[in-house]
Amino acid sequence: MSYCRIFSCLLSVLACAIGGFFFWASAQVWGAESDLLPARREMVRRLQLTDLAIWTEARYARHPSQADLFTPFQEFPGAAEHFPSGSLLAPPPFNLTTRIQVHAKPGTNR
Amino acid sequence: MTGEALIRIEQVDKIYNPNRADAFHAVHQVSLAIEAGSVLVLKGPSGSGKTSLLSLIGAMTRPTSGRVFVRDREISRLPERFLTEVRRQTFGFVFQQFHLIRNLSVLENILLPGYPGPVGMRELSRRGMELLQSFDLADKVSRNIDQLSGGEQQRVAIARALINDPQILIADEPTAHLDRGLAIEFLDCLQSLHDQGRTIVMATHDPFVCEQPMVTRIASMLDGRLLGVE
Amino acid sequence: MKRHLKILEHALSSLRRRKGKSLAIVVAFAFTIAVLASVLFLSHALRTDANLMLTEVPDLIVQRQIAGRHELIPVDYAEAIRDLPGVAEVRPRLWGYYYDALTKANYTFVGLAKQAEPDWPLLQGKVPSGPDECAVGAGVAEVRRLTLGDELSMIDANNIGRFFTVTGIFQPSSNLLTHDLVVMTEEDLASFFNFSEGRVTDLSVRVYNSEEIDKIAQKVKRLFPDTRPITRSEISRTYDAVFSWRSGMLLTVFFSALAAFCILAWDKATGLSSEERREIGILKAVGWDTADILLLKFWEGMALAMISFMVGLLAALVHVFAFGAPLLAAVIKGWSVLFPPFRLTPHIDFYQVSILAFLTVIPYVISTVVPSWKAAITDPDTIMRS
Repeated sequence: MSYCRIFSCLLSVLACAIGGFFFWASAQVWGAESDLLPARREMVRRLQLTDLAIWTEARYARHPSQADLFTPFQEFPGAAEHFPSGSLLAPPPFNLTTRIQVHAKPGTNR
Repeated sequence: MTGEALIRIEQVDKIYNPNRADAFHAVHQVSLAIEAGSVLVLKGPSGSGKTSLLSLIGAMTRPTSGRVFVRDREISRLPERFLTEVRRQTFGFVFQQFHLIRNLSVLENILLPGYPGPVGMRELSRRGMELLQSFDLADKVSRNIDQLSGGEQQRVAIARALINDPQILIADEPTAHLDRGLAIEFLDCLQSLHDQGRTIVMATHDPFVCEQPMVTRIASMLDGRLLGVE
Repeated sequence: MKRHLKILEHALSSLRRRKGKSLAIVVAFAFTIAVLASVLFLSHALRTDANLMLTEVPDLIVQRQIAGRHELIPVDYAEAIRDLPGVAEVRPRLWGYYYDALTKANYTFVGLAKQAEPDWPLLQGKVPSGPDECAVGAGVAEVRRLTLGDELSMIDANNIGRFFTVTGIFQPSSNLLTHDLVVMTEEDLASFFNFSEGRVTDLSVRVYNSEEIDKIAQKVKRLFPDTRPITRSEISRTYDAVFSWRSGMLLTVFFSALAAFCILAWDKATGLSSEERREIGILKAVGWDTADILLLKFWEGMALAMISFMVGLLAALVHVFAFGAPLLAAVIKGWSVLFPPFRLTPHIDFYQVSILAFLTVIPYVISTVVPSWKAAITDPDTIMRS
């Protein structure tokens, strides 16, 4: 049964590698993240947050209370919008040199 | 030789590609009985129907008409699965060109007929090693077939035919591609198998084979018909 | 069982004899599976992280609508809603979006009630407690180059520039929640956006029994027909929908790659080489029947598929959780001007993994077994006559 044995060893090694990597990756992240989770939840509770801070510009991820029931290019109230290519491709970057420098009031610590 | 008919074929015909333009009537109304422990030679020129008759005897194919019996059990109408099982348990085949699988080792080639059977791998491997030892091939167990000489390949082919311990050995033109020395070696091998009590059926047009003392009967064939049995 | 093991042995031996072809199939198949699994792992990890963080989201958000558009809601509605049976707490929310033309980013403004707790987790500094003060997210601080004590300038609803002193900056570990936040007092927010007196953005409602959320939402709607109650499940569904939508688009594309792979496998299986046909003929001649040949082909396909699946899965895990899925993150995560950097927490949905196994391994095995049928029904005596 040499080939069968080699095959089952190979499968076992792969299974151990998958399980081992997953647990290693979890340990790396979960250790830190699980400590932070209660703090994050507390933040959500105090600020009464209902959204994640991603795609804030995008209408389809905006809070449902802010999204219009009907918008252009939408088939039906509440229907998902067309998947715009803008979701994948950012527009050309803005010019950083036009930014205004804000200075602290005199007397404050910087 | 016990004298009982181990294999009986009654009025068999075999037509290849029936109802087609290239239909070929290979065997015409052949009836034959083969006793247990005998050595039967089917003699005749090329195209006389010897190989087709061997296929019918060895349950490799079903007759177009007529019946085939093995130990008084009709096998000609069995479904494929049961026919294959009968063939595997009862017959061992040595082909004209050996038909060993390239790039497989000697042992793997020998064990092939045993894989679908109920015998476990360990027992099968043990039988395979025993056969290799009896054929002086024990030192070549893991060699590739391509690395063996013609005579060694011939012995591997015989060992493969014996892995399921069949009672009947069928050989089709076994000496066709062998020189005289190898032919004698092969026939000596068959003699020892016959001495063990096995029944042997051979197809050949080589007179040297027909002259062997172990041959009990010779059936002559021409154009798919049995001319006579002597 | 013995028969299966012996035929598996021969199948593995066949694969070894055709090393090059077997390896090529494993590489191609594992790559296809790795891509599909990466999409699944990435979107599932994002969805799970989002759901874990948003467990403290209010049960209900009540907003007001006029002519189908959002309208500020009177604070008085809160009293009536509070009296409904099953309602534990009603709090007004003042918040809004602010488009900063300077950075072309959208900030989320949140108003904080005066009695806010003094000590805040994940905050460097303190929350605003008086007029013209704010706490900002790390993304806002970075793009406007703010540190504690700096001033954040913005144009209010009356087109007047306002300056807010930065009293706190949220830590990067809360990025997913606070990256684009500007937190100020409720009074500052109301005056900044010119909210009418007694009006707030919406009301957040907490209920005693979460199974009654829908019932209470119906009661609110009956009580105030101009309101739209939004439940917590509807909010989380938004993220589920967007992540599923993105991953679904990618999966559709890559499933066509899988289909192409299976077609290739089928094509290869129908075009058996003469060597393979000869081998099948020999097997039939030495005592294998059609079922045994098909079982052999099944095990050949299954062995390759299992190895490929596990290698693909491992590659996907490493790609997503060790390297952050650089090849796919852009599509799954998308972009925004203030996109929060965050680390993915490994989460695997085993149901998805088993569905993936079902949809990859089985089609491949079928596409290797079925086309072998024709060769498997070879008459054994053809080898005698060849």
